[in-house]
Amino acid sequence: MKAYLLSDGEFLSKRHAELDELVTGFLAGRGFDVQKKTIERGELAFCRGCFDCWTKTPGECIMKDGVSEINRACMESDAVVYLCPVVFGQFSANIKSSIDRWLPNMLPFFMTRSDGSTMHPPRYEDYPAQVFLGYGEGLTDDEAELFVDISKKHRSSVEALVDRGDDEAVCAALMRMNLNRVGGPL
Amino acid sequence: MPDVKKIALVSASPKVNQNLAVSEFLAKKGESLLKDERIEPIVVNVRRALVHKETQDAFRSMAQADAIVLIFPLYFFCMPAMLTRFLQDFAAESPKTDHAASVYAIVNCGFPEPEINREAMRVVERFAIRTGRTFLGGVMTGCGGMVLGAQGAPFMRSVMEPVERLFQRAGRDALADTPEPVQVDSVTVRFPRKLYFIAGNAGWRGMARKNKLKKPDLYRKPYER
Repeated sequence: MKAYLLSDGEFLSKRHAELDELVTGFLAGRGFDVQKKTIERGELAFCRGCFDCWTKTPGECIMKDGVSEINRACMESDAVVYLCPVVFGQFSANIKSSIDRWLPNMLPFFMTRSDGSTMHPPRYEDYPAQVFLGYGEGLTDDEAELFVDISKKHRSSVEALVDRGDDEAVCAALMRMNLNRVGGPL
Repeated sequence: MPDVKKIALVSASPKVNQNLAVSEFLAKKGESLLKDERIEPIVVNVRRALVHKETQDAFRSMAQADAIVLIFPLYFFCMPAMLTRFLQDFAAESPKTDHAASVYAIVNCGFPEPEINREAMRVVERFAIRTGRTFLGGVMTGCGGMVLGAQGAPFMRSVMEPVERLFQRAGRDALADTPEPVQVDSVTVRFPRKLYFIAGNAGWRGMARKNKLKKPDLYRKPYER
């Protein structure tokens, strides 16, 4: 089994290093071969909403800056863990770039979820489990709650938690999560 | 000379062609609605500032403003990375405002349901709190893809009128001793959802045809295991 661990090069704090070690150890203990990627400032261009990844080169972004390697590594993994700095309650800019540019992995078109909301259909039969692990100094409860809502409220099959400095709590949360590939609409 | 209040209209669509960007269109509309002898609206284009490395000028405009209106499309249920970068850097440079200032937002989503923008609006609120500003609300819109193409149509009034009211409200607040209470409006185009889906889906296929793709090409799986 493969896991892909993404980090933000602008927020490599002491706590990040601890979480990196903790998550890597946890995944290795569960039999995962862990590949890591740190996204540096300016490494990924911002998604520019051109939709060429849907209507010109379906499934691939036309900007050749390394995002294809990231998307390929994600799609070939069983689990993807984002070690994500929480900024204003959402993802940091570097991590958000990789999330925005996940768009090629979906299809264009509109469809309705079972709860009545709109979504884009999946391009693939199944996807890696996705875990968003937020961290940061001085996060408020509101920011932590918002981070989880952003990650989970409009997506099924996604896991999210916010680190509050407690290794055991992080491990316990990871233990409860599905870390196998997931099928169906995301 | 009257005391002139500054309102920064932050246009934050990542699109290369800003003539096709709803956020830029709305920012310009706000500029024309707000401009008078007591209000100085300033359009801050995030893409231009980042691409041309003019963020210092943009940050100065925002730091000096009495009100900031963030106007952006929803990307993956929150702010686009480009605006996140811009605000992250702004907050690092100007952690706290040195004067009373307020923040509003207009968030537009391509899906019909405007409530999907709620978390992005909460992010704007967190940005305001973190930088010492007062969050006063905004407008969340659905069917954002129709705003430019159908801007004059009667069914667009349900979106355009609340947006215009927000700009007017920001102007009144800037001039008042006490702003109006926080208000977040959730609005969408009065247009059949089914028809919106049909038109949207036909649009994707039409774009693919222009790029000489056949229907099965749209379903390619380049990263299949």
